[in-house]
Amino acid sequence: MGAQPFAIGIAPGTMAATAQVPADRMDYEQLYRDHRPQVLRICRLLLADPDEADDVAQEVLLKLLNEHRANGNTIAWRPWLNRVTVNACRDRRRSGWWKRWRSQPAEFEESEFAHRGPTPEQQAIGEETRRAIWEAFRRLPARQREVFALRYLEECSTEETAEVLGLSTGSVKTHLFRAVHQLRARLGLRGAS
Amino acid sequence: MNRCLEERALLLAAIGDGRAEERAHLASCRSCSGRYAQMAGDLDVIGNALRGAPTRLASAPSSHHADRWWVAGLAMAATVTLIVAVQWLRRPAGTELARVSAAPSATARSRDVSADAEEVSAAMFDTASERRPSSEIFDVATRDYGQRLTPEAATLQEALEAGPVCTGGRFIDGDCNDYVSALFF
Repeated sequence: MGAQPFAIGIAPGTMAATAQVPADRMDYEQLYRDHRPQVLRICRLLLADPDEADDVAQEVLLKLLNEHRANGNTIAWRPWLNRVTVNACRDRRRSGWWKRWRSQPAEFEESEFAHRGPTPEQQAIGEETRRAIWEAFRRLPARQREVFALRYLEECSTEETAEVLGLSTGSVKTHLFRAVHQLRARLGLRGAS
Repeated sequence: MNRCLEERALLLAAIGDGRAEERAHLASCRSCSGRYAQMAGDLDVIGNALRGAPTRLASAPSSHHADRWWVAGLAMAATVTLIVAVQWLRRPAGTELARVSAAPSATARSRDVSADAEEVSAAMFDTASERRPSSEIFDVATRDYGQRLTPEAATLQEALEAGPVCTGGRFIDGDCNDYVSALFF
């Protein structure tokens, strides 16, 4: 019995499935598992609507599959994925104005994230504070959100962030400083001057 | 380095991009180290919140939605106004509302009134001739004025009796078609 695609009804990653898939699929499956949370997180940070974020994340992961098929493992996937994800989110923000116009403001359902569960640090933050932080973050200019998400939340280096966003390292630092300053000011944190 | 660090330098130090002299200052300055701890604590709180699940948006959907339809309504009104204005500006030259051709121009009317005034004035202040009673002067003025209006009145009467004039209009073409109404209905 030769190598076959995923058998219908068998979830990817199970023993039955892994026994039948070719090596490149295994690679892709590993890539998918490793990077999907990161892609989804960036999409949710950069797009207001969770459904759109999921759509864009799927688009990005499809591009990952195509790129993986074309080039194998010759690419540094993390910066590639960051760049493709940021660009996909920008495209969606530009093209989705009418959809966003017609739709109600997005409301995130906590149940969507129930499997994840809050960390102790997140539990320590009150619900009101979390809401205020998210609202303050969404009010930032898009560029500042991108820089803050990649440089601070995703812990990319300043150089990597600059490369992904097409900025100089000085611009990255400036955008990051402005983002943090605005967040602290809007949240009324003591340190913000 | 003796000067205390600015907020930007504190931030860069907090994310690992600080310079060696700034880190050295942080280690020696209690004020800056306190501000640094505050900055790092704020970043932790913000980061923990944003790394977790997004929260519900606090904005009220209904008011946002109402605002949107207000804006949409205004945009629609502006568009209609623009279309009407463009159509009006592009109307053919011969489609002005038919003016009553016999009606005197404003200049002619002005000349007539001036002539009447001079005649009345001459009659009133003519000391050489015999003074006429003012009622007679008024009768002459009224009669003369009435005679001058007679052609206008006759023309207007003819126009009214002929019914609506349909030789053109702002929104009516030469065939009496209301193209603006046709555009929307």
